[in-house]
Amino acid sequence: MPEPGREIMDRVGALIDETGCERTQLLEVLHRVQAEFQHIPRAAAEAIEQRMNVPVADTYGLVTFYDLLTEHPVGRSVLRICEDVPCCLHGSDQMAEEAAKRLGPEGEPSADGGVSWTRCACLGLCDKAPAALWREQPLAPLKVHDIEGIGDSHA
Amino acid sequence: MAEGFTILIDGKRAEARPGETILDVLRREQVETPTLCNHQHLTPAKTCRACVVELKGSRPLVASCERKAEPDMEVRTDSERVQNARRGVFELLLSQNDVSTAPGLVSQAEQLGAVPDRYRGQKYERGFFDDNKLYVRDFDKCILCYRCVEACGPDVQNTFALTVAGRGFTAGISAGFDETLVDSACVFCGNCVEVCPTGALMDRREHTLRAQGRYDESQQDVVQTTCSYCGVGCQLDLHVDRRRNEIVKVTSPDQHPITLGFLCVKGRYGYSFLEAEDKPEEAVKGA
Amino acid sequence: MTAMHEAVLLRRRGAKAGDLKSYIGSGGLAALKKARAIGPEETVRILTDSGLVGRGGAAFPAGRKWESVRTAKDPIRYVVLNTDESEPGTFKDRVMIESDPFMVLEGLLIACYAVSATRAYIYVRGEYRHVAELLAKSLRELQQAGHLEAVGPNGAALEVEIRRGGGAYICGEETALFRSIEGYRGEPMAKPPFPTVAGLFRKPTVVNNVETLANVPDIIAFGAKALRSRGTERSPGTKLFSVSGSVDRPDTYEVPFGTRLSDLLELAGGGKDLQAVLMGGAAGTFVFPKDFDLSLSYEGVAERHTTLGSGAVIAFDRETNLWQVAERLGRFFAHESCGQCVPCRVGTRRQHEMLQALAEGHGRGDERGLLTRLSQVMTDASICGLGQTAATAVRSLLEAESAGLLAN
Repeated sequence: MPEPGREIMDRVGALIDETGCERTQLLEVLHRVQAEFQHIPRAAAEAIEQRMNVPVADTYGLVTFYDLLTEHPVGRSVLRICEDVPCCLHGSDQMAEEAAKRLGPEGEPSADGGVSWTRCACLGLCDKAPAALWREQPLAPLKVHDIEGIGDSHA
Repeated sequence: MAEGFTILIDGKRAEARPGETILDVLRREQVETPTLCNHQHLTPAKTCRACVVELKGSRPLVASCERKAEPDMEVRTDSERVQNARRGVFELLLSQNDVSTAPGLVSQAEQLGAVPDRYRGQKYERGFFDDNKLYVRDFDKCILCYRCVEACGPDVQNTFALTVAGRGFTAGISAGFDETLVDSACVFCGNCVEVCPTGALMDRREHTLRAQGRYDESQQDVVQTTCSYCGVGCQLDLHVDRRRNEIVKVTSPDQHPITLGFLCVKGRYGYSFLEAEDKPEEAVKGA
Repeated sequence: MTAMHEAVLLRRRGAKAGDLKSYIGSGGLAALKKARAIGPEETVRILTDSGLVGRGGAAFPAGRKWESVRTAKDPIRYVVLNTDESEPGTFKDRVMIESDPFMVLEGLLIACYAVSATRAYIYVRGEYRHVAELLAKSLRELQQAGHLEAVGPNGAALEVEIRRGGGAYICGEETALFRSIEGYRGEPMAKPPFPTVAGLFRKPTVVNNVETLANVPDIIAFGAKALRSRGTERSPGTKLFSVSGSVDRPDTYEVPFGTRLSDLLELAGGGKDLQAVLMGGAAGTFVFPKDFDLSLSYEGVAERHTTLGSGAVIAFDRETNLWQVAERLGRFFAHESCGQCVPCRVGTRRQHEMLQALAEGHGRGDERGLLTRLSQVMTDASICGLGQTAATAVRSLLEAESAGLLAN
């Protein structure tokens, strides 16, 4: 059986085949790696170094710079709750408390790896505050009921 | 050869040459200008903002280390706005960093009249890393000047082992993925240590001696020699503690035509091989 | 009299939004056809004459930007559609695209044709996945119908790439945006050189905001006067405002420049009994009822020392503690600072710490003076617009407090 690092590298290599190996594709490659592995593992950075000639350290620099990329695994589905002014005025802090109660600590995947939640910066959905993204699509206005539903399906 | 031109500095005319930065001109005119991230052999990072000046026509202040001089520019360094901004930069750094091994930073701050405890708040705590035999990294002292990243990267070494990771206040220098340096791409040339302005990166021997209260530059002699590891001919300055006749550090003069102050692992740290019983690789890898 | 919501840019908002046939049936793509008939030079001249200025926040004349790239020596040029809408309280670009993706794309095609762009990039913030998908679908339809043919240089078909952002406010800053497309951390670079000289991949580049390009088709189709028939002498046209917060009908409203702020607030079902509004987003300023009669135009806001910024208008009722609002703004900037320069990296943190203390009511008493002092350092010494404006709202709040304008 191949070692897990090898498997990741092969898979990331296939993703790079789709995008092209120029550096300008790096963020897109990382988006795809994140979608597939729920984080950017070190082995992915090694594959990127081999195929795209981007140093491992540079990839790490990007992963830690962009909010949508993570170095540690998050849930397969992510709930992002906006915490900026218009949403805050409409109770986003209470939504975050609710999420902490029902979905566990911020940023940590549920036991089945299915879901995690995080606070985030303004989502541009202020007309429907408090706003959230669920599986990358708007979920706004977010209601306690929505969080309960997510929690129940990943108990 | 392109023609020189004049710019105005605090109302006085000064000669400038094409390609020069405002800072180049300020230095030649002996206008005292604080700098932290600027390094003569590295691309201006323009991140510390200590050298900002007022430039007519520009709303924000500009970094003199980075902005090229242009004919008829009007530059002010003596305005309250400039002094306030520079002082602010130092006060912000003093509010977050351990500056115990950064005498240059401290003395520039004093000259500007910076008040060390002006701002309070969370310290910059990124920890002390001791993961190899050649140098230590104390990131509480890091001011994120980018010099080490540039020296490791395209400006000097082309190793690309270092990056700035994270964002905002928690951004910091990293070798990626919680790596120890030994597991990273680092080749231990020590050129990052050479350019570090605050002692955040420090040769292990210097660090150990300082901890024991035994590092005293007034007790050191500098002995010149030429590195014998290969045929390039790098000049080495051996810093010898005359009390114990012991090499405490190896550097190279920053104006030496071959090195510009930069060395490789053998030149900079090869002296410890004399004392290592193990193979050279073992000396690098740590215990 | 109350000003009316005047749908010009948003006239196709509703049922048929995003349908290419009905777009063309209602006059769409006529402007692109006209541009190709009159040529690049004349196209840019019309735009310049119209007085259109960028709607992203900096209000730079759009025609001048295009002209300097059109006449650049380098044959390789780019046009970037900046869809990195991330200023807190701002959602008008999203609504613009959802309402009429083709008008935005037609504006982009005209821009590319006018400056002979080798390629266009659409940079969409990562959180706007649904917007990126809509743009991709619309672009595909245009392409399949042959509308990208001969828009590129020397009669070639135009290449357009859609890029997803990674979740970083700073990437709306144009030089950071370039770095992000190039595959790096989005750290702003010093200007000059300006993007029109050395932008994306160091090539001459036009960067335009969504709303800016949405204005272009009508201007080209109906002439410079089309824009000037609305708005004021110095601020021609209409403007999209994102109104949110303590109002009954938060939404994107299109009104002619020169409309009174109070009338805009009334449209949104607010206005009475408001304590203040935050104009221009996190990087803007607080405006209080004594100034609600201000004219929403570039000259009107300058007169009252505020800004249109991104067109965000966040309203606060009298129950709201504005220091708690300021704390949230401080948190935003501390989170979004790229970390490159000292004044912004450390300054946004110190600012947030002090705002937290004030919001929670356990300050040590010297915070107000320190915030004022710090704001000057950040404004003067930061590399880019983020750090330079991160203290603007706070400073306006401090001034309002001294003037006794806060409700609690």
